[in-house]
Amino acid sequence: MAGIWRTTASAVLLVVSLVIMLDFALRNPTLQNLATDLNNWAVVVAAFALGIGAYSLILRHGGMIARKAPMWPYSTILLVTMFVFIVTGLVTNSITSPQYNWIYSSIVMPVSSSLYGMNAFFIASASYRAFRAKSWEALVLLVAAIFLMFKNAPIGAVISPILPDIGGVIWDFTGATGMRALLIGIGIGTLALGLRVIVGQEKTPLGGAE
Amino acid sequence: MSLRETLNRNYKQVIYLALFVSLAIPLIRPIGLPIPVQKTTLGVYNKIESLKSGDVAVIGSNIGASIYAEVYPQYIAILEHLFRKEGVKIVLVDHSTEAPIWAERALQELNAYKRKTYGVDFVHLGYIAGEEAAVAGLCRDVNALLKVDYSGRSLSDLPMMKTIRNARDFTIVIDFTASADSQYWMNQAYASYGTAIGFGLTAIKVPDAYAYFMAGQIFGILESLSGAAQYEILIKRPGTAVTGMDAQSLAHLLYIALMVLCNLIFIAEWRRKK
Repeated sequence: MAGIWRTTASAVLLVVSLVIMLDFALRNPTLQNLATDLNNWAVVVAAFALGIGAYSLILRHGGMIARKAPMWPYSTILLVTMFVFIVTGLVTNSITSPQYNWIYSSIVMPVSSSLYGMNAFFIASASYRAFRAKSWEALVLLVAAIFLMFKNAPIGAVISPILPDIGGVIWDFTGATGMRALLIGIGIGTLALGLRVIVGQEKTPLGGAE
Repeated sequence: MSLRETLNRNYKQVIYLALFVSLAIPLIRPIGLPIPVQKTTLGVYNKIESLKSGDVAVIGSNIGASIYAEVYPQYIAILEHLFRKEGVKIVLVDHSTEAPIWAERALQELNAYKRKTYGVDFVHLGYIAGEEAAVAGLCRDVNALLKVDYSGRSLSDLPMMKTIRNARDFTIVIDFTASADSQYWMNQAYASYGTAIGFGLTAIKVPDAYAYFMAGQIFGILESLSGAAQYEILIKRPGTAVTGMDAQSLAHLLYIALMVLCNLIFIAEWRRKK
């Protein structure tokens, strides 16, 4: 049964991929309409996936609460928060209503931005602990990091206009070229993976990874 | 106890306190350090300045609570600049479930509903699920993908949406994100239709977009809070980003001092062992 499912899914994947690719290459009106419909189906499927995600979350954490599994109070907080947001959204018929905005601004925003802001403190601690010039490579990294910081913060130009210029040269010539090589590598990798999926060699997207 | 012993024993507390002070003081009493404008920011500014009446600017957003401190000031500055351009049509589209909250907040903050006419000068399409498929759908055929806007109004009732059908009608796209949706616009709008693209990004996302900027494939990038501050200066509307830059400068200076101190101690220990 699983074999038939995988073969059918692979065949559908092949046909859909070919339609999208040929549409890109040929610009035929019939193909274009078909490709647009297929693309819009993907959007509808993704919207349903959000619902399935919420259902799966309720099922998993509901089970953890029922079993009193370790850390089950956190699951309770998660589900209560989720339902508060859902009910508020449904009752006020908007996620930008004053009530929804109040909950968002008083809970999600401070918690989320505090967690993100804590990175600044971890980076400060890491600057003192980890950035040691133990080798020549580490020294190069350290010096480059200092010049890039002088480039990104206005204080660099205040100390000396040369500092951000040096940072700019490092950024333009080593940073951008290194990243371009990475991007080209990612592009080639994506193309290879796409081809493997299309010809049915890559089983992971169809749930066949073993 | 010497300074070295204090640092060795309680270095985290000392560092955290130093960082807190270096961030808090400039926020309470701004120093007013000059903010030089970078070419990436200037690229965005010049592109928006060149827009003519009837041009369409699509503004994508993935702003959420975790990144708003870096990206929201950019978003506000760009929208303000666009609203000043007479006759330029603005289409707001969101790439995350949180983003519509920030889009509506920005529109309220800029008094958009009173300054401009909804449906004629700007439209908010809201969140569209589907990641890259959503961006591809917008580029292919907006009306085939969506029937209503964020607040449920039919797109056919919005005058400006009658002439905006696909990516060929988008003059520029600027995406504000810390995520992969900037790449989606590159793939679907720039590569397929040649639409001009720019980004407003968090600092960590800048390096991969910078490669596109250097290759001339995107017209500009607003880099983190510093990009927002530079843009606020360009449009002569100093806001939260300009205020935050002094704090960021002192924090950077502290990081550099800590790196130097760390290496001085390391060299001293190495010499002693030798």
